[in-house]
Amino acid sequence: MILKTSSTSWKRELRETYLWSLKRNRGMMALFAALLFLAFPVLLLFGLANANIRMDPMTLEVYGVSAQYASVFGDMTGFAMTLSVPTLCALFTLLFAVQLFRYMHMKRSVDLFHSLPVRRSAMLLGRILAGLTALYIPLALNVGIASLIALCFNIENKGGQIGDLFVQMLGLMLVLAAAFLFCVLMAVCTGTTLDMVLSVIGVNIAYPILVYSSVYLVSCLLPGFNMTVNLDNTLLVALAPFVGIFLHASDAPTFFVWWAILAVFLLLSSVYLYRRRKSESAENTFAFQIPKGLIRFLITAVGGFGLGFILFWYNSSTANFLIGLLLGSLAAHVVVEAIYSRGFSRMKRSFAGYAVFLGAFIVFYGVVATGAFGYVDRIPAIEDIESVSFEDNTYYQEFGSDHFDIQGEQYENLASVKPEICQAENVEKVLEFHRSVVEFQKQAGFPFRMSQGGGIQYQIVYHLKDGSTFQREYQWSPFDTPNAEENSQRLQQLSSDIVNSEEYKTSGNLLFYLEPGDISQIEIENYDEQSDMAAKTYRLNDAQKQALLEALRQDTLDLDITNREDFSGRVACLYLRCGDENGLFQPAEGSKLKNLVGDYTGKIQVSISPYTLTENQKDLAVVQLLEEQGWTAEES
Amino acid sequence: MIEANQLTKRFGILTALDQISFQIQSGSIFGLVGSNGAGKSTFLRTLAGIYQPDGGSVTLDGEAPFENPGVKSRIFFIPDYPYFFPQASLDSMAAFYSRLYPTWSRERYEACCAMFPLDRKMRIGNMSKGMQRQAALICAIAAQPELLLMDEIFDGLDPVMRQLLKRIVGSEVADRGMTVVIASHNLRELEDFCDHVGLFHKGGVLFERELDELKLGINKVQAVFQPLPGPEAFQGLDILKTEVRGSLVSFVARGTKEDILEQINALHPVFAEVLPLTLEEVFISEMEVAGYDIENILN
Repeated sequence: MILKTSSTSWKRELRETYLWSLKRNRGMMALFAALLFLAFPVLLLFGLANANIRMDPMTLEVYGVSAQYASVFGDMTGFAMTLSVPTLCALFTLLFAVQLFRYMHMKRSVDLFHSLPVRRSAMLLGRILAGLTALYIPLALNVGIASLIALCFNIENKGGQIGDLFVQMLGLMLVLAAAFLFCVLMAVCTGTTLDMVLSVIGVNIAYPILVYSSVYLVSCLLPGFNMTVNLDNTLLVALAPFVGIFLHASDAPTFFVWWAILAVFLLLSSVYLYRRRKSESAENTFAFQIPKGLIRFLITAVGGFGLGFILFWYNSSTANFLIGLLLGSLAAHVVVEAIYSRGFSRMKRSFAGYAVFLGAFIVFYGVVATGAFGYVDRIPAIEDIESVSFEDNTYYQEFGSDHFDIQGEQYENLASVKPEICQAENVEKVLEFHRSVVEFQKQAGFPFRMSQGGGIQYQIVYHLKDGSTFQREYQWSPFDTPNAEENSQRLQQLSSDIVNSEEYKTSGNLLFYLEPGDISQIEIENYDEQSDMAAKTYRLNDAQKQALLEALRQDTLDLDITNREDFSGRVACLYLRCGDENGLFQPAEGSKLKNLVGDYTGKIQVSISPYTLTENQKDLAVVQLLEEQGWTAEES
Repeated sequence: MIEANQLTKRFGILTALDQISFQIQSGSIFGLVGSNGAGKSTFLRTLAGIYQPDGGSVTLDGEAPFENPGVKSRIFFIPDYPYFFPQASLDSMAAFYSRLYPTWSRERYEACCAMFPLDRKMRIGNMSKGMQRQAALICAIAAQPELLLMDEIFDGLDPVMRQLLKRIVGSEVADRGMTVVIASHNLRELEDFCDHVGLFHKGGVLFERELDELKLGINKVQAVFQPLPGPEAFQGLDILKTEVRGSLVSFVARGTKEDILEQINALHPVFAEVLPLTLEEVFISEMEVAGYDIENILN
């Protein structure tokens, strides 16, 4: 008798695959949970139990114990969620992926699984769900236990400690999904588990290095471009989710949007490719050739940039870089090909891929060295500019510097103030400076050659009327040009005109934002090396506060910022104190500071740099005021 | 019914199956024989839905098995090296299959376990090659498929287990009308097990026939002639292989025993007899015609 079977449903296939796969991995799941328990809740419990709780030395009374525990909790969860937990998560993501998808890489297991009455999509998705469950349940369990421990120590969710932990966990889960699905895609594309693991590790290491190297190369080559300092994390690890696991605490929405998009893309790609994957590709190196080519390209480029920059750093020579790039990329290509092909039999054919890399690099280098399609020459028109921020880092900055931050009672940043140039005549000075920098750069040689920057010297940020910003940062020194001295003096003069303008000096200096009432006291510290250091604090009346503030402002306006002397021969320091003993004060209604913090109603604090007094500053208004009032570091 | 129509399967530049076309009737035990690399295992894997054809088609009752769980649930494939999960026992493998094959029979599983001398709790990885094949066969029989595909199943089995296998599979064919396709180089075992055979060589099918018809249609002749007639005297016979030693002529020829004997007797031999060929002898003779013989290989 023939038993006619009914067609199995896709959902049933998915469910059975999921349950079976989860059952097969329950041991690993338990191990993961146990290790997470040691790495997080156990450490947290010991940390809280042994916390050094401060108490009043007189009454031995403990104040704010909950807040003190919350602080320990914050420190420990910060450590756990940025290091120990992500490390274990990254390790087990790879282990679960290997465990669940290595069947594709063995002919014998492929015979079994691909002959089963289960569609490939259901088989893959069932295993993906099992893998994610195996990662998520131990993680959620341990975060839950950590939260319970926190509650046992009366740590309330004030300030969001426990809530933040769960938000971090969700962020971590999202990046873990992307990392796991990345492994799945690699498993589908490769023919052996070794190649899968090598590809996962290779891409996750090579991609961030390649992005950083490329940006660094452009920064060395393209005047005005500098992204190495503030390189966006999302871009840096976009295709390296295992690195992203360690950056999951990022608060940038784009970071999480990207991982969500990538996870969906990886999921769809994996299913699409797995349905087309030839069973016979098991035990071959790759099931699909395109990923192999991309990974080889990535590692070849990293090898090239790596050796290129090492040779470049010897003498900042473009030729050194290019020789290093050629040798490094060739070596990396040969190594990758030898590993992937298990020998040299396909080496000759593989050089077509190397030629693609060389071609791509030549195009990339050519575009950047010739100004990146007008990037260097682009300067906004004056009528489009709302305001400009200008920084010249070649001169000293002190006392209030030229920028300051306003913080709230919980040390949260409420506002950052920098010099802002809005007046047309000053904006025109910046434009003139900008045009001169570009012109001098071209005089130094075109197409541009690589130069090793020694930090940003000039930064110009145009805030345009359409709401966008236009930024250029120059590392270049005018001393490289043939008429170096002349160009250098010209730039200094132009910069001096900008930074010595009243608008520049007053727009970013805290002294011009403070009200006399904000000042509570001053402290004067003696710097006489021959005698012991002495310091004295003075409480000022309203008239004294007014006089001091006016003197300090006058000195700032009189100062030639570009000719600032160094601190040799200093004799004393003047510290300006605002607010209470913690530096907190309520800004006066209608004051500039109040306007800057907007709707914030609490107390604020501002960091104030000391005002250094030197021997040759006798004519300063503030020095005269100190003498007049008899304010010194010594007892009179 | 299984139907291969212009079925082609390539592995890179190698064509493992080259536009083969033939049919296997339901309820038959079909033996796949052929040279090494002839495409037998590839055909089984394609029929099991593991490989996707590069051209043509193979169907079970009109439906292609690739990515078709409805068809695959009616097929069970035992490959030449069956795979079991690491640490798996026979019971755990049975639990796995029982979730996926809707026709899985617990009773049949228990009955098979009672027949084969295997420890159900023992780790299959620790079992011998023959015992692993027994374990695979128990699972296959318990799944009660309509089509059972077996690749080199006799390899590693002792003679008693071979007989048991043939008896159990034979009863499944008789009781349920199960179809069996079995690839093997062990022609002696196939000879008394299969009712049909297909001979594969270099990705093609040299022939596909009922075993009895095949054996009756090819015969070995030994005859003594005084004097020995010239080669033209044997032109009426479809001779595959000839050997002459003095006045003794031995040859293998296609045709019925009666037809061959009639033509030989017309040449007035001193002595003549027609002997039936074993499947192995048929295989060797046919492969020699295809250019696959020891002499060719050595030369």
